[in-house]
Amino acid sequence: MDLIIKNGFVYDPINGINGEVMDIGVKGGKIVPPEEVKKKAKVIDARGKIVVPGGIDIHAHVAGPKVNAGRLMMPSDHYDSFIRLTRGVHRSGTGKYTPSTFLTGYRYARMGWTTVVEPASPPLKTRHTHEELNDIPIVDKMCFLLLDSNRILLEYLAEGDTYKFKNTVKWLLQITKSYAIKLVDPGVAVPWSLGGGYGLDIDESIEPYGITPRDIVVNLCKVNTELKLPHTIHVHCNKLGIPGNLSTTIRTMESTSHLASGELNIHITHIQFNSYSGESWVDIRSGAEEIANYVNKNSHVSLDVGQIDFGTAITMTADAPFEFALFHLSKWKWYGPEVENECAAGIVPFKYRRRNMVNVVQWCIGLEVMLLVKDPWRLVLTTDHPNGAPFTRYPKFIALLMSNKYREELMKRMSRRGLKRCVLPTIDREYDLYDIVKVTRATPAKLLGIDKFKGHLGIGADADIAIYDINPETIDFSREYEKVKERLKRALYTIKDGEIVVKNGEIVKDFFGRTIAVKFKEDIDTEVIKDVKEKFKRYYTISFSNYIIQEDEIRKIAYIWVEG
Amino acid sequence: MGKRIVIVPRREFKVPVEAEKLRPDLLGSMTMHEIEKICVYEGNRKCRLGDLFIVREESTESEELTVVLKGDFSKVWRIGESMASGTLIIEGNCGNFLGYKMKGGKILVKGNARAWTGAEMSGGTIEVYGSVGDHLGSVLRGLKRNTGMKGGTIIVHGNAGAEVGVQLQKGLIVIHGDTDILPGLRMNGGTILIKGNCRGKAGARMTGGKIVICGNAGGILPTFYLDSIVKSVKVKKEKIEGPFYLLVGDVVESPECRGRLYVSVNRNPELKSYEELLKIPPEL
Repeated sequence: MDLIIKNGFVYDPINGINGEVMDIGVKGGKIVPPEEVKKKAKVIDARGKIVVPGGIDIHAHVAGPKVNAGRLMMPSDHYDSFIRLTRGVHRSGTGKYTPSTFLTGYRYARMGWTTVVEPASPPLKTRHTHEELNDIPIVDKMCFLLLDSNRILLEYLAEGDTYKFKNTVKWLLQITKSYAIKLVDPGVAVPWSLGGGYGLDIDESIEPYGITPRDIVVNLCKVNTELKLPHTIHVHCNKLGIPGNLSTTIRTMESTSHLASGELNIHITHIQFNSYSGESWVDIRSGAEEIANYVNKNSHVSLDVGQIDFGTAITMTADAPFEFALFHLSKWKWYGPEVENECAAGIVPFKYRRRNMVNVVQWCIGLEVMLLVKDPWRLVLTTDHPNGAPFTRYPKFIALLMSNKYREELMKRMSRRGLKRCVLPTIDREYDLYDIVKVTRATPAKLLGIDKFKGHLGIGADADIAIYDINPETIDFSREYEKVKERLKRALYTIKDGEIVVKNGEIVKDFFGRTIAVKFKEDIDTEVIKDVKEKFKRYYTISFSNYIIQEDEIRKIAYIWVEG
Repeated sequence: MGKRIVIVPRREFKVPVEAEKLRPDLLGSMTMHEIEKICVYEGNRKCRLGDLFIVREESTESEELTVVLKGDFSKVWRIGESMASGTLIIEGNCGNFLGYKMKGGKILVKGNARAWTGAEMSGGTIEVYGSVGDHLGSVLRGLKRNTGMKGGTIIVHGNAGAEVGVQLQKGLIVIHGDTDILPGLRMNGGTILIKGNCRGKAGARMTGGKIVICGNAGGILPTFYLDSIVKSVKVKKEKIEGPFYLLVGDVVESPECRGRLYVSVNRNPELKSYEELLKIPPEL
């Protein structure tokens, strides 16, 4: 479908366009110069509206076995929130915190988001992840592979066999059709499955392998650089959610600083859960300043925040011991599965409270990090859906970042004890629209290495465009925050691959997006795979050939070719 | 002179009809024309109330607004949802979720009711002359421990199904007949009075409240302690003659054992061996 978007205020940080009035032409699902579009093309009049690239969510648990378990655990989530089927347009769906696959796609599209990343998928369960990603409509998606506690990899690491280690990582990424390497509390699943593991620090030894989480981080970082993967390693640090984990986080960031020469080499995810200073729950304090100082001084780290919102959330992570501890705090429900030789996970529904001191500190840390880190090219807004809040709260957080008044308004109703431990009340920085577009669109595209065709509106990019009914010339972002929030909740238009999928906040077209995966140009050493096969026969309950995910199991695949 | 709205089904329903707006406080403020235009779902088909039911208005002597449902309503769900006042009389059977989240008023059923009757209600009265299905006065699946029926009274003259009063917080449930298993599951307050027999596992995981079983209890869970034998129990000013075993529990859920379970002595001869536990050993 040919389209021309006329006279909108265009925000496109990758191409340095800050609110200029421009025309954008769309032809064959790509962006082309406006004069190339036929005269008969459909015209969208965007006068007095903003035109931005489609949003990219770099960290949202939207698919895989643990999301399914979350759905089963929360029946109340499904009778409270649902959409009905509209014949010929879209399907029905239920859920608010863990929506069904169809609803996930529709909600993202309605908000103006067009790419989503499932950040933790153990290799053995990636088939399930792909099955669910296949069913998420409209948006493009990718998944990260969980490799930190993989017993075969840990054995190679303990033997010091880096060649086999590297080739196994490469082979795993290749056969699971995934995109990048994810580490969750590196190595914790090993002691956990032997009956320990809560609060494993970065320099503690992992028995029986005799290696430390630091070795895992450093070696995977090296492999990531050697393989020239588009994204850096995606690290959920050790000791997540434990007071005093600030020093662990800083040491994790430092651990790869010697490997970097100017470029990014580590992405610390949901930093909010990892920046608690103090020694116990009683004297917990915000560590956002220290984190921001480190990130401002060192250029090799990128962050996403994992902002929480008050209300119900479902925490789901491959950090099993933390979830076990959380279960004892919430006294509600707990699900703790283990994936053979690869990882352990936990799911606990949790309620963040406005009157709870710790929850208020958590709420503040997320915003503090967003406001104190100076370089928006290394910072992404996420909610770690559904751990901190469902992804549908992005408009609220954008309004919070843009309006100091809104923050003050909300802080009036919060625990004073909590606010005293934070610096947020003293910060009055406000984001402008250009920075917002950076932290939700341009930066995630750059970090993921897909900035050639996503996250911008230059010639040749995918036509993923969101148009919001906001006039930057007349609106006062710091005062009219309610209006901003409402307008961002439902996009006026969302265009995906050149098709209008959302009009006036309602889905008008339903189709499936692509699954993006990496593919290596160089072949993998077959000798190494023979060795892996031997180990596999001894350790796993399934046969080797069933482990490999075939290309025809994925609905629409798009490869990114990698040199390594 | 008050008015009385009579609603009769036009035909027999094959699939569930979702009629959450059939509530006296809402219908009372509407004209006949508006009532006929209320949106209801028959299966997945959207239709108007007038398409499925005949609605007519009668005048009565009583001042209070009354809605009378005549005929078979056993496929009609969510009647009287969130109602706050008025009287609803159902002359026949009615479907699931009768009086769900009800806040006040009165519902009379002169037939049987199905599952989830009076679920999560917080006030008012439901009286059923026939029997009811499972989950009488219960909470919907998966909600937190502090949610559940918060007040009001449910009286059933027939039998009830399984899981009566799950997570009951406050209020009274009276069953004149028998119940299936697990009455008072996870209950935290309020009273359940069962005048007939129970099939067992009464008060599992309870942390408060009172269950009185006048018939056979079908055995007692091992997580309850026998406290004493009492002569009679008082339930809302009504004195019920015993004697009763007074058991406390559930110890698995909370060591304070705030839950009270009264079980008839005469109708439960298999609990005779428990009485030895009440004797103080001679050496003390």
